[in-house]
Amino acid sequence: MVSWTQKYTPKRRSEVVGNVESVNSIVGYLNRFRNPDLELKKRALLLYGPPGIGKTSSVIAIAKSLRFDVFTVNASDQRNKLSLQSVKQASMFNSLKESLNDQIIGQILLIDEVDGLSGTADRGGIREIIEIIHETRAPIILTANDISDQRFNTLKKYCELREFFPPSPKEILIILRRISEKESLEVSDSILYKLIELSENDIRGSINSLQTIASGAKIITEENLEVLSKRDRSILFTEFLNTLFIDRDGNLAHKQTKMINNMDYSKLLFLIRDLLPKFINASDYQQNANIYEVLARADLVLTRAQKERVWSQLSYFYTFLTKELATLIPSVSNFPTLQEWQLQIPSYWITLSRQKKPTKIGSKIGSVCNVSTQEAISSYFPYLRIIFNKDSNLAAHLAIDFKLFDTEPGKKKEKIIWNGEIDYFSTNKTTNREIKKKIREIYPQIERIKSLEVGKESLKEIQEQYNQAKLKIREERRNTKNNRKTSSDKEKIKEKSLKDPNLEKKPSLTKKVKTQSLSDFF
Amino acid sequence: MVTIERMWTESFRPKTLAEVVGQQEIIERLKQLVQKTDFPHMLFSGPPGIGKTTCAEAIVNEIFNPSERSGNVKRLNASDDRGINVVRQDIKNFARVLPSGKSSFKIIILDEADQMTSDAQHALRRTMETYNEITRFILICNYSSRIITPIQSRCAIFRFTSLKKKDIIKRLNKIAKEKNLIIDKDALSALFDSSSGDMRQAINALQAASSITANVTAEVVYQVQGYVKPSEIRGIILECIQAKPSFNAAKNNVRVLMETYGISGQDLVKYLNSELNAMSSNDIPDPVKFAALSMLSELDYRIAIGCNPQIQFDAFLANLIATTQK
Repeated sequence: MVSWTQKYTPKRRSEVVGNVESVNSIVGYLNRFRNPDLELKKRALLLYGPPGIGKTSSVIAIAKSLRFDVFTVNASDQRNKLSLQSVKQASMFNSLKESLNDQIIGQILLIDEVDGLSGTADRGGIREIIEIIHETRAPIILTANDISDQRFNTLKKYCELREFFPPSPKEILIILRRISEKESLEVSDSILYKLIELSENDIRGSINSLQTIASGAKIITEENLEVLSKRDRSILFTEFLNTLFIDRDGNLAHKQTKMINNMDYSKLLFLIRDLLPKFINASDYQQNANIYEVLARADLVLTRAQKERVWSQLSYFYTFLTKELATLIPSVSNFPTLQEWQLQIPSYWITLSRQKKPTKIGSKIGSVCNVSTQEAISSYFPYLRIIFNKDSNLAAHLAIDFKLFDTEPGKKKEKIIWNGEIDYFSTNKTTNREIKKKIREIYPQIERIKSLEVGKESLKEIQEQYNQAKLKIREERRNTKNNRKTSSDKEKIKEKSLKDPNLEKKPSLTKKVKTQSLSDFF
Repeated sequence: MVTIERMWTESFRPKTLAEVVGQQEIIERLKQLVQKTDFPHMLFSGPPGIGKTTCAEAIVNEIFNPSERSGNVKRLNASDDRGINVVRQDIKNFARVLPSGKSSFKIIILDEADQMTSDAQHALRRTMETYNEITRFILICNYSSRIITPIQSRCAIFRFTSLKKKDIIKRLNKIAKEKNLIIDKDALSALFDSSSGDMRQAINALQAASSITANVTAEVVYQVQGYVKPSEIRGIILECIQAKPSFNAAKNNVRVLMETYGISGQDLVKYLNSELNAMSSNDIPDPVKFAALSMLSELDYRIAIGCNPQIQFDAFLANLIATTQK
């Protein structure tokens, strides 16, 4: 049986649904790559967006329309350094293909699912891809679902980025309608819409679902859909909580952990922590200690896994949180009512966001007082809290020194904007007001003094440099004078020797002559 | 004309080695090195607030004249980013340029070097060696054990010790005199006791006390200390060990301390440790106290390796309650 996703994949550019701009950008990119007159800023095109919305099929459809051949590398291939080298060779053979087949005008290299590159098995993969981008003679198109991870940062620099968005349910409906007509299915729009909703606007997913439910019958009803929905969907967090806290079925909960939508390790841990008080018996102290110890141990193994990279620790994480926790939780008859946000936002995240303010102030103070943010918080904050409630004059000076407010250029002078950082220390209303009044009064003066001081300092510096330069010049002059003296002496000697070449040699010569002559004589 | 007021820890920071109090042996050795105007890479280690950064700055002041200073000295504070990229680019680029002026070398001061990742430290090691001729490093850290051994072996290590009572009092007296404060012996003693040898804490406490009154007595110092240690810290323990303990109240205290006071998990453990040690057997039965300390040591360790402070604190509090109620 042919899969419908293949059978009905778009064959022409006109059959591609949605994402007009991004689809056009593919054509634009191919034109720019092939035409040497047009400027090509980035040598590759990277298409990204959720799965099943037509990234790969758009490329293939356009390639067919423009008579390109597509060479695809996808996640099923190994894509480490070595195996990508064969791709590199393929990228060189653009011209050869051209001559072999008149119909095909060129080749596109399609590297599918770049974000599926595994860190270990595909080691060196990204670097090799970048190299291919540098050297290729064929256009390269890459696709990815999520490129937010920082390991793609370098790759992104070399690629033109185009985002694909999920098409609207209406657009997908057109496709599904077309398919069901060709397959002569009887199906209502409302069922198709539900199908689209279940697949979260994924074209491929909804076509697959349609094929699945159509395999038994030509007429599709609401009931058929139910089979599908049970099989396909991931579970909701509340369902997991029900298994864990009400049924206390640790084994099932353990299985479900991997199926929860939108959940990662620490978020799960934090949310369970937030919900625990609703299920535990506050007066059973030993039981509570045991329960919280389980959470702490789960956190410990998670830390070992993430910080020390002992990944085998991870398997204990879910075991502790589900199987062990289920044996400790007291039985509760009914599920407490929970607000939607309680299942979404762990309270620890709120704590983190509230800690931002002290951290920001701490780093300002740290840079003035030469200490780290944490040291500023522990050894300056407590004392500043006293000063900012007792001595408005000193507090104003310190606030200016640490710059605990924002400024923006005004008409005549800088405008001071309070950002709540003074209020963080100063809780006493009257003192708070006094501090701010004082700052408005003295801030311009202090700025002026500071600029004067800077001026003085730079003046001093310039003067010092000038003095040094002066000394240097004087020294140089003295040196050149001395040099002239010594060199002129030498010249004089030279002149002398030139004037009278026989002056030094003569005696010896005469002697020689003498001796010679004498010897001749004898 | 306004006179600019600053934190006294900054305005009274010694400018020369001679002005630094305490650490006599180290100062003597440093003075000799400075006189020769040449020295090896140096590593200053020791607890906070005892003069490590001050000594490094004093060395810079004595070796370079003001005009040479800006071009020949690079400071990387703990609040700056000092990841591996900074080491590979900023530090390396600075280290390899020839010194300006008459100086034969440049100085890089790296504060809180033990907070750098070991990757960044390894990247540093090559730079220290290659540009040894023209660049000297002064590394400052709390724990020299957190500095990788290859770097330790390239440095002359100076271990700074906690300041003695007379040293701190000498300095506090000087500041009090310049700031026209009246301060008595008891107040000075109280300031020293609360600082545990940390000059920064002592000076900050004095400045905070002076913001209350110019006549600083022991009472005022205690008043300052009362503000400094939020009552929530002792409250955490009390909530857990009372007859009808409240886990939620204790947990809430922890949250408030972290959120509104910005205290880190590690500092909170430190405070709890000193609080527990200070409590008498009337406040807390000895077996409970030592059980609590043993649990605290586990908590301390887990937070140090990067566990989540709130989740770990939950377990500590629940365990402390269970132990007390047994």
